[in-house]
Amino acid sequence: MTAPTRTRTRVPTRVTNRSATTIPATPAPLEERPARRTRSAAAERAYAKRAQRMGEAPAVKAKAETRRAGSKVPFVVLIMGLLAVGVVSTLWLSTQAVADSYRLDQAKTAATNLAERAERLRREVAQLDSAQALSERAKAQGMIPANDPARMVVRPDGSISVVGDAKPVRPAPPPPPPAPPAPPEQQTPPAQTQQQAPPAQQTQQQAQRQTQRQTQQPTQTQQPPRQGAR
Amino acid sequence: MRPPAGGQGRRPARGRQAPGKGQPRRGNARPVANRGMRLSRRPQAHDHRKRVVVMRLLLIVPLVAALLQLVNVQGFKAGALAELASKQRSTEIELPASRGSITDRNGVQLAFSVESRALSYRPQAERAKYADKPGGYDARAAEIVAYLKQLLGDKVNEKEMLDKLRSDVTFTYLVNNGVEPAQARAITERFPEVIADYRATREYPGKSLAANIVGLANWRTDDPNPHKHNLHGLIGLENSRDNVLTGEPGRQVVDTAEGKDGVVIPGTARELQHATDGSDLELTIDADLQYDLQQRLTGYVERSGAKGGSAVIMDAKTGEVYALANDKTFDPTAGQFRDPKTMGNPAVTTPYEPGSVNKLVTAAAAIEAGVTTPEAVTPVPGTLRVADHVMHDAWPHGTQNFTTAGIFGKSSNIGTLLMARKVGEDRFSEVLKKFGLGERTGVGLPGEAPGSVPPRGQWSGTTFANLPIGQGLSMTVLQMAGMYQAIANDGVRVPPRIVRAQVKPDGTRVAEERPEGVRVVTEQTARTVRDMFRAVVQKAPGQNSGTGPAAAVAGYQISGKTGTAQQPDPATGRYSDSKYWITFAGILPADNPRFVVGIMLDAPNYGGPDGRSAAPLFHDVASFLAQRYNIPLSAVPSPVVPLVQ
Repeated sequence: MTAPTRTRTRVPTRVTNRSATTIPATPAPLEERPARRTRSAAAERAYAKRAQRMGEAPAVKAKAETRRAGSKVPFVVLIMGLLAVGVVSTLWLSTQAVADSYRLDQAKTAATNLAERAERLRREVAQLDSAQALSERAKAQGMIPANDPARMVVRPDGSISVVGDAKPVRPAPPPPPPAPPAPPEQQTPPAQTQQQAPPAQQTQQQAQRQTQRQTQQPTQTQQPPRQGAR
Repeated sequence: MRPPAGGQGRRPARGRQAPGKGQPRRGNARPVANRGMRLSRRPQAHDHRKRVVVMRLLLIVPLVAALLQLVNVQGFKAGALAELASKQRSTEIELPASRGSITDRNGVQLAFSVESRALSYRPQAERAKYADKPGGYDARAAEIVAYLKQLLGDKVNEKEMLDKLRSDVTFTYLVNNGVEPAQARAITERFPEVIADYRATREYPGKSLAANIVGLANWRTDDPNPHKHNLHGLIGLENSRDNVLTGEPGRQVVDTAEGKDGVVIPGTARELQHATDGSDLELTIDADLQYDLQQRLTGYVERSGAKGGSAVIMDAKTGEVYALANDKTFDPTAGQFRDPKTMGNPAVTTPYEPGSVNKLVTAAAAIEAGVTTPEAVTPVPGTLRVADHVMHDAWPHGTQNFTTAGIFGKSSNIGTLLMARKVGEDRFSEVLKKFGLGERTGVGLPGEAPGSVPPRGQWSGTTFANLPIGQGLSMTVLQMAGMYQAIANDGVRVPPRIVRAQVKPDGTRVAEERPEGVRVVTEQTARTVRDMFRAVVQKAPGQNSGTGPAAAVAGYQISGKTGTAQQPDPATGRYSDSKYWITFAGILPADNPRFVVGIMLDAPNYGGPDGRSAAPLFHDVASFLAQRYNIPLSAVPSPVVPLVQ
């Protein structure tokens, strides 16, 4: 609404400028334009006079008018073009958004599936890693909880003393499955328990912790005098 | 700018008015001008006027109607219509919060939650669909059961489920819980009539491991609002720390295309209430040690023929509970078949009379008061008269010269009472209090019992003959171990704790508040008492063996005390002569304490080989502790001290 009003008000200004070019009281910003226009107006008048002389005056006026009318056409086309581009791009974007939402949905489903799988695997690991499961599998492989270990103490002078009395564990008596080991009464070859331990370490990585508990592993300065058990 | 706009606005207004008034004038004017020439057109002009009016009405009436409707729709009905529209396209999504896990001190999971589904069915509604096909429904039901059996295996009882499907009810659960979401999806894709509901399953990978501590949580549907159905603790820490473990479920509203389960339109998520997951609990328990203690205790209780038993392993410095076991435990994953008797935690809920283990209080009070030294010799008679009772030792003897170490090493009741007399009732009562007896330790487990100690004002003549030797007062196995922890920690008792920290969903770790230590005796007294109690596990020729040499561990100095307390017999109203509480409390190693172990056996077969002492069990536990924690050997073995001279 405002645009046409402005142009309408401006047109008369131009007319006044053209008609009264020599008014000195015009404000500063307007002075420049009139200055240019005065020049062009002067030139125009000069051309007009010349044209009058040559009898071509109406042609020039018509040309100027068509130029003025013609100058609006690209602007309208531009706006129309912008509108068209806007509509098309909006359509394209919304199509893309919908397509993306489908892809997002698929990706989410895939992520859910994978998360579920990870959860299932974690649960399995937790169950297999529990002390009870390890103990059961160790027992199934014929391992027996060890009783008191003997320890070798290395003295500062390099001599070694054995603390404790290492005795091989007797294989569990079948009727009552003993949780704590039965006191050993009879020596069995240590090779028996040792033969069973390595395959356990190879096959069941998780059983390693248990194996450490079951067989007498060296600890720091303490060595298992298994071979030299007396 | 406005004046021109107003002017424009006014101008058309005038124009609009003009035809209304001007029309008849113009209508008259024209015929006047053309009267002579256009006589035949007069009716037509009349028609024209009519047509204009009709057309105008036709245009204006719908316009007015449209305007009214616009005002109606946009103004009056706006709220209701918008609501209807959003109902049509928006879907509410529940954002479940996962329950925090419970881990041991090394991060081993003792309890955690997994998402699962429950399967349900509407037999009546489904049967109605097969009304025109006899036998069709039963065939379909059989098909469903066969598929469920194939997919879920043991969780499905074919016959039971088929009965449920064929029953004449509106709604029934086929599988209550524990169906993996992927399995549930496969089922609902194939049989859309099967309904899958969100559930969370609590997993206990260790099964009975620490079950009495951790407790049990299950899916609750008792709240009338289905949004509030969630996992909640039933017993144990799961129950007492439920508010920490349970998160805050969230809600989200989204717009969907293609119906309720359709694709979510991006950018439409709103009314977001984020789901806050529950915090994790980190316990001071060591899962492997806990398993070992449970196994050993259960085995020992079985062999000794005891009614029950409890044991605890505590850190000597911090009072952290490394393992707390009862002989009876339960498997939280075993479904409905649980014996409620096994689900408690007697180690903290059921006090007992400690017996000679309590002589530690007498010893500490005597050394602290300076009335004796470990080497001091006291002549101990065979009997002692206190008020109207005659006290005697567990074995008959005449007057013998016991060293103070010998009095406690050989657990002489009379010697202990003589010591207590030297200390005096008031000082003894004060030390008893400082050891934390008669008050809850605040370990952090539900239902903890404070035990009982007769108040000083209510002591009778025989009270001071009972308390010094551990009768007439009661304590839990935690309190008993706590006394030895004070001695192990150079006289400062740190109340035991079992929850180490909370781990918030964002990963921040909030350590539980540490209790203040209580100075019970001086450092020097604690060391002296600790060294003196090594005599209990001493094995020496003659009468110089202590009461618990079986507790000794080769290479380590062990300080501890055996205990045998008579159980009150409700039938006679007196102490029983056949039922005992067999106790043991010890420190490993005595020269540089790392752990304190407390053991209690309830009424073992006193005549049997394992029924007289808990010392062998202490030995097994201590030996395992030494191996598991690589405890360095004691520099020198415990010196052999004379007990009887």
